Amino acid sequence: MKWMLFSPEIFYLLAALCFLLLSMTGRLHRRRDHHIALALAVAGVAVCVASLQLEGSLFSETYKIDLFSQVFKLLLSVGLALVVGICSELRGIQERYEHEVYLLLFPCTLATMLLVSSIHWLGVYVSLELSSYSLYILVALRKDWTQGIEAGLKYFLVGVFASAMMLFGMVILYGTTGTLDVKQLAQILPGLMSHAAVVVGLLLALSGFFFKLAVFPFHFWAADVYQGAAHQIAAYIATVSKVAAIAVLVRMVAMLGGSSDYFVHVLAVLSVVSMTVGNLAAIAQKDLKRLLAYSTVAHAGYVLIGILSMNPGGYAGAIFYAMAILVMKFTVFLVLVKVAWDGTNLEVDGLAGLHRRSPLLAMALMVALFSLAGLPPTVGFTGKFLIFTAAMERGHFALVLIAMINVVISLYYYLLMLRAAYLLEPQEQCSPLSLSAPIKLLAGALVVVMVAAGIFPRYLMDLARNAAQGLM
Amino acid sequence: MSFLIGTEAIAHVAFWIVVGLTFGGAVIAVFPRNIIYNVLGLVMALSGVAGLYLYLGSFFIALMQLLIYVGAICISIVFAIMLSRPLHLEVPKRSVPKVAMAAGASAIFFAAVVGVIFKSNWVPAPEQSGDWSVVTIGHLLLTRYDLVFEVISLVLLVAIIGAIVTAGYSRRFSS
Repeated sequence: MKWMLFSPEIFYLLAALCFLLLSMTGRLHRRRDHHIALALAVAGVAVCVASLQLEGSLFSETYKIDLFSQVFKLLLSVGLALVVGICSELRGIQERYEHEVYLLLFPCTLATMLLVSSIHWLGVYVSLELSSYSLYILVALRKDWTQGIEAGLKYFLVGVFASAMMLFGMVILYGTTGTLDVKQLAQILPGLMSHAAVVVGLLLALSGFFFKLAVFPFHFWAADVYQGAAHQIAAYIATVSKVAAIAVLVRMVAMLGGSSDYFVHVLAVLSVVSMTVGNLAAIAQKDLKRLLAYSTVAHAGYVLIGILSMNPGGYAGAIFYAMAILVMKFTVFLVLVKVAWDGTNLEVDGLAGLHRRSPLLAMALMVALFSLAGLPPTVGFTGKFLIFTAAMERGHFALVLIAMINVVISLYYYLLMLRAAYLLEPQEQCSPLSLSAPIKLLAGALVVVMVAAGIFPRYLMDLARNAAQGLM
Repeated sequence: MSFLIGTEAIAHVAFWIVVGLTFGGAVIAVFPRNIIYNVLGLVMALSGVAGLYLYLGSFFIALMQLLIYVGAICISIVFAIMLSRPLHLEVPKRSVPKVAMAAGASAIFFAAVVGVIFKSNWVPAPEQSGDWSVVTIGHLLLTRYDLVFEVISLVLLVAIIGAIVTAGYSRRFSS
């Protein structure tokens, strides 16, 4: 049964069609829709778990299913399920378009799944467009529609620019090699890596993913889009979309990167600039989502270090870091969604008094921030540790040093958030936050996962290593 | 013999005319302040590209270029212009620093690309790699590029939903 290989994708396609039909009925049943979406998203996780061990290829060898792709599909499905989990009250979204949120989230996840498996540049490009288009619209659905449209338009313009760059790079690659099939390119490219055209083509072709990951020259959208989008959508962009971008970058660099020094240098420069710009810009931010956006830019820099190490340890580190980003960032957004329950944007000072309003959320926020900053014993520390050791193995000492300095800078603004949550007194009396039991359970589980994966990372590390092994 | 030289010369002349059309169209598409001229320039540039495809011997793609880009996309741009802000209103002035920065950035990129083009030795493609008839393309679309073909339909679906949603906004915008 070859179609079994395609089961996660088929499942998400059917789920998307289900919401297409629901949206045509016109009536809004908020609770029912949310329950259906949650059930489908959780079932999607189950399908991805079931298909974890599948291996093979489809569509004339242009679509590869291996442990790497399946691990990432599992991560993406978990990310979607988490995001749908906080969609019970979509106050940031216009009421009449609440159907469309699920209708677009599912195809977008489908597209990210296609991305991690495609090994033909055309397939990669089209899946990237599908996921980007869904996100442009999701961003524009913000209740305060001038804000939403503005953010959506900014996202769209930068995105179109990046995909034009990507197409240009693909053209150069095709012009020099005569093929866009990544497998064939992997055989041809090592001999051609000394040619400037090939390196430039490859870098441009990857720029679509630099855009998704908000790496330096394509990071301009991040802050405005996070600020303009509804919290849940921003959470989705910060988690699922980033994980997919990391996956594609890891696969493409592992298969095509070869041993070009120039290529490594460019990636190193991008990484350093992203880290530094992200962290320095984050310090100046008042709005919580803008701050998170710049911290994402910085994290993209750390991930790039793992990727440019070009050794199995580096790839495994990047995969592990993708898992870590998913959990850490989501936890912060969970807190954000619950604190700013009316769907308006939240300033950092708006977290004031959180430890009294909801001790559980305050603790979740603390663990997530420690993890983002990379303090032991959290999952973020392990991720950074794996990446930095892999980079040291390849002798990128200066790069690791700069990254360490950046980690210290980032500690400052993470602690500012923590200070707001624990030490600042709220200006007006705030009532305690009432959380539903599932949300409490989710917050608790996330804390446990972040700490447990930090102390006992063995299982996840092995998974990441095995996935990376399959790439080489 | 002189006949052969004649056709070659004509081919050369045709090539440069097409290149001129493309570049001229691109310039018109960027510089004039009247957006209708920009669209017409785009039409010209895209027709020029279609001519280039024809020159490369790809009749089908040239036709598709005309049909899709010139025929559909430019027309929809014209529609979009018709439905948006009236043309007789004052257009905002170009700010000099922005123009300078844009020109600088494009110049750097152009120099880099030209440098790359001259530095690398391109492998000349064989006369025509394989058979590019409509039948072959159709077969490829339904076999090798099956997934791409299907995903594009999803992209279109999402784009249509997006168009409906954003059109809803603009209707409220005007009322």
